[in-house]
Amino acid sequence: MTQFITFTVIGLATGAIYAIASAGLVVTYTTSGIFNFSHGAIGMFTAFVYWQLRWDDSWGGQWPAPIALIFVLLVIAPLIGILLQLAVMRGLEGTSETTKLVIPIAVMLAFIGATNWIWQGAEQRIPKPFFGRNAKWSIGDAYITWHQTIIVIVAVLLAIGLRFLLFNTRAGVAMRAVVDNRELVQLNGGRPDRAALLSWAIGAIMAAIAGILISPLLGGLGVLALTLLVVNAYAAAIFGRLRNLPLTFLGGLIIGVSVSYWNWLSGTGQKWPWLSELRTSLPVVILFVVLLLLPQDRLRGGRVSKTREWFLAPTAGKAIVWSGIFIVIIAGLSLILTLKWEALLTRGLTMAVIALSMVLLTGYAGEINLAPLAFAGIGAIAAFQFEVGSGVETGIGFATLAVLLAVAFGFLVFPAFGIVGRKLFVSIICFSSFVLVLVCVFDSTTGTGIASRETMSLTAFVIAALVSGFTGALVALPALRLRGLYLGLATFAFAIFVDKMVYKQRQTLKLDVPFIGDGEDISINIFNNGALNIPRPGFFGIDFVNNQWAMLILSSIVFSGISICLVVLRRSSYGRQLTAMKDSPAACATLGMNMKRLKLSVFTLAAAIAGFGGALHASNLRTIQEDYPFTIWEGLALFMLTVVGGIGYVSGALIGGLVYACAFVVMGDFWGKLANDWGSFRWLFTVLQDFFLLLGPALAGIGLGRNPSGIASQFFEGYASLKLKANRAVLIIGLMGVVAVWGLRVISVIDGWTFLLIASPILLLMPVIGEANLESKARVSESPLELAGLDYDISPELLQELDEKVGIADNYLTTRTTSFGRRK
Amino acid sequence: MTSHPILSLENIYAGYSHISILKGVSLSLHSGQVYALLGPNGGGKSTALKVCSGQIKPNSGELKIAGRSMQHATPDALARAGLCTIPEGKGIFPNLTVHENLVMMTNTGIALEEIKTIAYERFPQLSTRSTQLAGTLSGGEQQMLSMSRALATKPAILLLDELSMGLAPIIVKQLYEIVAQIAEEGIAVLVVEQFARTVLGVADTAGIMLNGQLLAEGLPTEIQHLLTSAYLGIKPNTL
Repeated sequence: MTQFITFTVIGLATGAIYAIASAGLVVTYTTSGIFNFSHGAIGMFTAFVYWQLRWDDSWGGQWPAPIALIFVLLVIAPLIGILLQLAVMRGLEGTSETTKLVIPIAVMLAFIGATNWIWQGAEQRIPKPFFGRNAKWSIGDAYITWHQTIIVIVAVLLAIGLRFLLFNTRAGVAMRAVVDNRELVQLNGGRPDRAALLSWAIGAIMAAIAGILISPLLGGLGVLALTLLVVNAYAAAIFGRLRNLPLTFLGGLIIGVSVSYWNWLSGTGQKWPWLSELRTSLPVVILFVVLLLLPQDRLRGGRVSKTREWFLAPTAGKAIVWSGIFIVIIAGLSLILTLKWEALLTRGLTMAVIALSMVLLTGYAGEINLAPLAFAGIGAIAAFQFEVGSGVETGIGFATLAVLLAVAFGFLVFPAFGIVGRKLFVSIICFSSFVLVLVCVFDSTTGTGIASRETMSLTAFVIAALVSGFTGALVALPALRLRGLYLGLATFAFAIFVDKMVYKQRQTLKLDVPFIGDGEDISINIFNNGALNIPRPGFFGIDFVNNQWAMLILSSIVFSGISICLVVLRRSSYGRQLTAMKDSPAACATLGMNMKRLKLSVFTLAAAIAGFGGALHASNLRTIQEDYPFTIWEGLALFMLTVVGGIGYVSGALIGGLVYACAFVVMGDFWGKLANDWGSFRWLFTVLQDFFLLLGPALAGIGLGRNPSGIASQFFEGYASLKLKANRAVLIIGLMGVVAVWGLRVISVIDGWTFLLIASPILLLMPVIGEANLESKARVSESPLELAGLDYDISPELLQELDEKVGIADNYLTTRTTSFGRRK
Repeated sequence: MTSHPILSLENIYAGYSHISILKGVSLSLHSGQVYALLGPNGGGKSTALKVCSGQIKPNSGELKIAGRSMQHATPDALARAGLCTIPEGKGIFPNLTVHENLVMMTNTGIALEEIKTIAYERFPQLSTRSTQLAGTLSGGEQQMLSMSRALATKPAILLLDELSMGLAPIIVKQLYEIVAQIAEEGIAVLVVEQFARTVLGVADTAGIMLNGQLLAEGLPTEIQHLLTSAYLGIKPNTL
C-alpha cells in the first residue's frame, strides 16, 4: 500500500508537470495553428535561468525564491514568448505544414545551442526542490514532499485559471476566435496581433513553470534531458487533440502515472532487461498509440493547399548532365583538399544521401518524417550485423532472412508502380533471386561462427536498405491515416523510441529461421556496448579502407545515382501521383487512387534510401555510438537543414547534407583561425566561432520563414540569368576565374583559405553581374502582355505593334485570340 | 439627406498584388441610406466593400468617413469607430458558442448585457442556443447571429457582403426587412449583392459595377433595366 501511494504520488506529480507543459502547448497551438516544438526547450532554458538566479556561485545566485520566480515567470518567459511571436512565428502565415514544423524545430535547436553556449563547462548544476529535500508530510507510511504537493496544487490552479481565461474573458475568447477567422476578429474590432502575443506569452510561462518544477526531479540540469522531458508532454497535448484542455490535463496525469507504475512494476527497468529503457520511452509509446487511436480530421476537399512553397521538376537529361558535372567538381575539389576536409566533405555527401530520403517523402509526397536518422541508424546497424556483429550458425539462415525481406519489399513497393497480378509475382521472384545471388555469391555467407568481416560488401548496403525499408513500412502501416503534424509527431515518437530502445539496447536477439538449422540460427547483439565499429566498403577491388579519396568519390557517385533515380521518379506517373497526394488528398480519393498503397510504398522507399545512406555514412565514420550520429537531435537538425536547402529538390538534400556536416565547421574553423592569428581580438573571434558552431544551424532554419522554398530555389533563380545567351561571356569569364584559382591551389601557389576567399566571391558575384548585364541590355516591360486590357489599357499603339508582329495589320480583331508570349 | 456623406470613395484604384480590380470608383453614402451595389461576378463589388472596411488598402484615391480621410486605418480601428462589416458567407466564429460570438462584439465598446438584450430580443431563437457552437446552427440562424452584430453594436455604417448567399428566399426576405429597419434608425447601409431582385426593393440608391468601374448609379427603378445587359457583360449604350 505504501508503495502504491508513493508511486501514485510520484506519478501524479510528474503527470501534473506534463499537464502544465502541454496546456501551454495547446494554448499556442489553438491560437496560432503552430505546434511549438520549441516548447520543451523554452522550459529547459528558463529552468537554467532560474538555477542561475537561485544557486550559481559566480553570478546571480542566492536570489530569494519568490523574486527569482517572479523574474523568470513574469519577465523572462513572457518576453521569450513575445519575441518569438514578433520575430519568428508571425511570418509563418501561408506556409506549408512542413515549414510550420521546421521553424519551431529551428527555434528549439537555437535554445539548445544558446543554453550550451551560456552554461558551458561540465559542472554539476543541481536545482533544489521547493522547501528543500526534507520538507515532507505523510499519508500512512508514505511520504509526500512539499515540492510534489506544490506541483499538484499549481497544476490544479493553472487548469482552473486557464479555463477561466479562455472561456470567460474577452481576451481569451478573442484568442480562440483568431484561430477561427482572423479577418473577422478585426471586423469585430478585435486586435488579432495582441491575442497572438498574449497566447505566446502564456505558452512560454507555462513552459517555464513546467521546466522549473521538473528540474529538481531530474537530479542535475541537463540540456537535452530537460528538453526531452517536456517533449513527453506532447503526448498529453495529443490526448486533448491539441484543443481540449481538460482532456490534455487528464492525458498528462495518465502519462505520469503510467510511467510511475511501470517503474514500480519493472523495478525501475531491472526486471525485464529487454524493456529496461521503456521507462524513458513510455511517454512516446503512449504518444504513438494515442495518435493512432485519435479520430482524424476528414479529408478536406474544399481547400486546395495553396502555399508559398514552389518547386519545379527538372528533366532526367538535366539531372544526368548535372550529376556528371557534380562528380567532376567533387573530383576536382578532392585534389586541393586536405584529408580532414576530404573526410568532412564525404560526411556531408553521405548525409546528403540520407537527406534524399526526405526529398522523396516530404518534398515529393508531402509526408513529414522526423525520424530520417532513426531509419539511417537501423540501416547502419543492419549492415553491421550482416557483416560483422552477428553470430551465424548457417549462412542459409541469413540468406533466407534476406530473401524474405526482399519479398516483403517487393509486395510493399511494386504494386504502387502499377505492377500487379502475374507481373507482380514474376518481378518479386526476380528481385528476391537477385538478392539471394548477392548474398550467396558475392558475399559468400556460407560459413559458420561470427561474420566479422573486415570490409563491407555491396550486399550489406542492400540488406541495410531492405531492413530499413521494411521498418519504414512497419512504422507507416499503423500511421497510414495520419497526415501533416500528426504524422510528424508519430515519426518523432518513433525516433525517440529508437534512440532509447534500440541504441541503448544491450541484449542479444536470437532468431530461429523456420525449417533451417537447429534452433537459434542467428544471434544479434543489437548495440554492442554503446558503440559499433563499422567496416569500410570493399568491392570491385578498390581500397576504401585507407583511401578517403575513394570514399569521397563513391559517396558522390551514390548521391548522383540516387538523385537521378529520384528525378526520373518525380517525372513518372508514380511521381505525379505523389504530387497529387501532396496537393489534395481529397481530389486523389475522388479519382480512385489507392493512397494507402502509395503512402506505404513511398515510406518504404524513403526508409530504404535512408538505410542505405545510413550504412554508407556509418561506414565512412567507421564507428557509431549510441549518442552519435543517428540521434533524434541530429535527425531534426538534418531535416531542418534539408528544408532550408529546399526539400523539393535533390539539390536541396545536397545543400542540407553539406551544410549539416561542413558549413558550420568551416565557419567555426575560419573564426578559430582568425582567433589564433590575431591574438588581440581572440575573444571576439572565439565568440563568433562558438556562435556559428552552436547557433548557426538554428538561425539558418529560422531564416527559412522568409523564403520557404529554400536555398536551392533561390540559387536556381539567381543563376537563371547566366543561362541566357547574353550572359555567356560573364559565365565563361567567371568559370575561367574559378578554374584558374583552383589551378593555383593545385600547384600550391596559394593556400586553401585564399582559394576559398577568392573563389566564393567570384561565384557569388556572377549572378549579380549577370542580372546587371541583362538590365543594361534589354528593357524588360513592367507588366506581362497577358495582362493587357486588365492591368493597363490596350492602346492603339500596342494594337498596332501586335498586329504588325503577327502580320495582320488590317484586321485587329483577330489579335485578341492569339498568344504572343512576353513582350521584350 | 445632409450634404456631407458619411462614407465616400473618391476615385479609388485598388486590387490584389499586381492585378488591379477597381479603376476609379467613386461613390457616396448618407446616413439612413441603403445603397445596393450590384453587378456580375468579378465586377469589383466585394473589393469596393473591402476598401470601405479597411481590409484592402487602395493604391490611389481616398476613403472618407464623415468627411475624414481614412484609407490608412486598420479594419479593427474602423470597426471600433462604428463601421460594421458582415463579410461574405456568414460573419460568425463557428468554433465559438453563440454567447462567445456575442462576447466578441464587445470589442466595439458596447456592454455584453446590452448586446445580449438586443440580439435575443430580435432573434429569440438564438437565446435558446446560447451555449451551442455557432458552426452547428442552421444557415439562417448563423446569418441572424451575424446580423445581431449589426443591430447590437449600433454602428454608423453597415457593410453587407452577399447577405443572401446560400439561404432560402424566405429567409433572405426577412433579413432584408431587418436591413430596412436598421436604415430607418439612421444607419447608412452598403449592400453588395449578386442577386438583385430582393435588394432593389429595400435600396434607395443602386449602382452597377462592371470591370471595376461604376457604370450607372441612380434610383432602383432607373437602374433596373440596365441590369440584364450588365450581367451579360455588355456596357449599356445609354452610358
